[in-house]
Amino acid sequence: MDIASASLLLVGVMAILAIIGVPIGLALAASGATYIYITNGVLPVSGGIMFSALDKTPVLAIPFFIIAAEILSRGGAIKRLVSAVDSLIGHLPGGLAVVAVISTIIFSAMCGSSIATAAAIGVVVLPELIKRGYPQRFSLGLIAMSGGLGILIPPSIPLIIYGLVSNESIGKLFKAGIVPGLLFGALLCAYVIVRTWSWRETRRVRASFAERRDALVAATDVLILPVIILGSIYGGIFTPTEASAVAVVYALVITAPEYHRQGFRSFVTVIARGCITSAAILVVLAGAAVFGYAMTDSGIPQSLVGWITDQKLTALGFLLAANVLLIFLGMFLEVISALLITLPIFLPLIALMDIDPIHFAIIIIINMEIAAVTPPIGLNLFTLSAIGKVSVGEVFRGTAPFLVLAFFMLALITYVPEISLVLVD
Amino acid sequence: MTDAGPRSGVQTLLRGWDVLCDAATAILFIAGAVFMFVMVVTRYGFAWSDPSVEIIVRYCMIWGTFVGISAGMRYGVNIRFTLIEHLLNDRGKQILRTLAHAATLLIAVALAVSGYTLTDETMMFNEVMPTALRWPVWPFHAAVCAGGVLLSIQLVRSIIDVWRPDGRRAEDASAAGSV
Repeated sequence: MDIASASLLLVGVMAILAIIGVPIGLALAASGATYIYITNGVLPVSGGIMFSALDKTPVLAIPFFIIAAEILSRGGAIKRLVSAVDSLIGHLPGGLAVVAVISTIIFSAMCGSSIATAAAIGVVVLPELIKRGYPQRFSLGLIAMSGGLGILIPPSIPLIIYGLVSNESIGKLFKAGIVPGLLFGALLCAYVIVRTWSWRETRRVRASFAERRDALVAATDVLILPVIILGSIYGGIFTPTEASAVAVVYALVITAPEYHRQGFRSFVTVIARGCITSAAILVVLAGAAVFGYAMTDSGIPQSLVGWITDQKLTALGFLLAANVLLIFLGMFLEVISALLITLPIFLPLIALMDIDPIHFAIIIIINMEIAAVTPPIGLNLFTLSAIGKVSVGEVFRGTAPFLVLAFFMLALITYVPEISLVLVD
Repeated sequence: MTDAGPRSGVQTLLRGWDVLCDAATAILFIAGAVFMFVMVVTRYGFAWSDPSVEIIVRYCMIWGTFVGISAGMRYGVNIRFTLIEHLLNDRGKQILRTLAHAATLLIAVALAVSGYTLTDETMMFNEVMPTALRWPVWPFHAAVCAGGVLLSIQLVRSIIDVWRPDGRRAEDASAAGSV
């Protein structure tokens, strides 16, 4: 089969199935399997490829981090975390809005998902922000945007997937996310402080020493978890997969009293929800493996490499084009799908352009943060819309000023690779 | 009255089946996490580890994933594109959903066939785990076939649900669980 027919078949079948509403993972698998069946006449290969895609130890970190985040967010851990941060800095300029960003940064170091971070922080902080007099639109936008830190600050599920597909060290990818994550967090805090400087009524009364002590003691077990996860990975004690399993058990232990209070049924629901969500994400990974296999077999990435070489595109020009493509795709696809569809094409190209794959991973993640708050398929917008019981359009209007910051961050990360690579090197 | 009896019996059976699938998914993932944790403890605490545990954990997760696809379909958490659906009226939604479920059903059947052939081949060649346990691998490869079968059953139910007057399922909450 020639390249043009293969491209048409792969992209066409996938697009038609996805547009009518077939789950993305199965649409990817079906388009890849159709190509394999037409060219090689065998169907069983596809099941084997899906199985092999999941039969890798680093993949385990994905469900484990999702389950840990689910257990923590429903088990009262986020409430304790936010109370502790609020008691320390809630009275300062920026007040609870800065507390929200800092709590998000801390929770991001336990959870690898943008939507889970936005949901967990949003449920606890959004009603309180509105109660303290912050405009609703501002509050929604802040949480929707800062939720994106969940996939930039390690552990990050998209970074794990990037590592699996590109064979890059997941530990190094995690390291690369730290500085950009903290920088973006600082940028959000700075913007919030300037924007809310005159909103004195939103600041809380300074907490007493006893209040701070009590809040910190109550949140100590939650605050220790990022130290366990990241400390053990960077200390060379645990692999990311081992750290994720420890996170699940630790989350179960520290939230046990809360689930005891809520009842066994609530606990089982939370666990089942986390596991079924994990399965939904892993299916995309398995389906994308079939798609990626077909894509490589068809020679599409290789001919794209040839085409790009002929265009004499510079690395910076290529990165600009990649950003435009990712932002466009991100408007219609969620993070994991966009990542898995584009990586088989991007990876040979970045090798050709001599772009550091770890730097490129962070560029992709910032793009996906933007995608999460860009309509029509911005999942953080949907999440905040559900939590705040407002329209998606209202959340997007609140997010717009924060998007300017995100685009500034994207330009910075794209053209200053040292920000991503400083800890890796 | 005569109608209500059998229908509620079927519904009870289906509900029990759903609970079983949800529980199996949860148990497989949580068992995987606990096995992995125990391995970490024994590795660092007692300087003992068995590579078979890691493989079993992976297989637990693979089974959990394939069993979980059908549950994901039931709760509407499978990641999918819903923009077109939102633009349609109720009848249009019904038709599009039926089309999507029918196409997914075809894929699920293909997945089951592909999984069955894979399992059959593994059995034929007597493939075993590459560790001291030497367990046969086919029961783990059978997860692909089981996933296809479970998903097919769920999709037939979903197609029926779409056309039931009270069939407004949790599908509206699509993509709720994605990253």
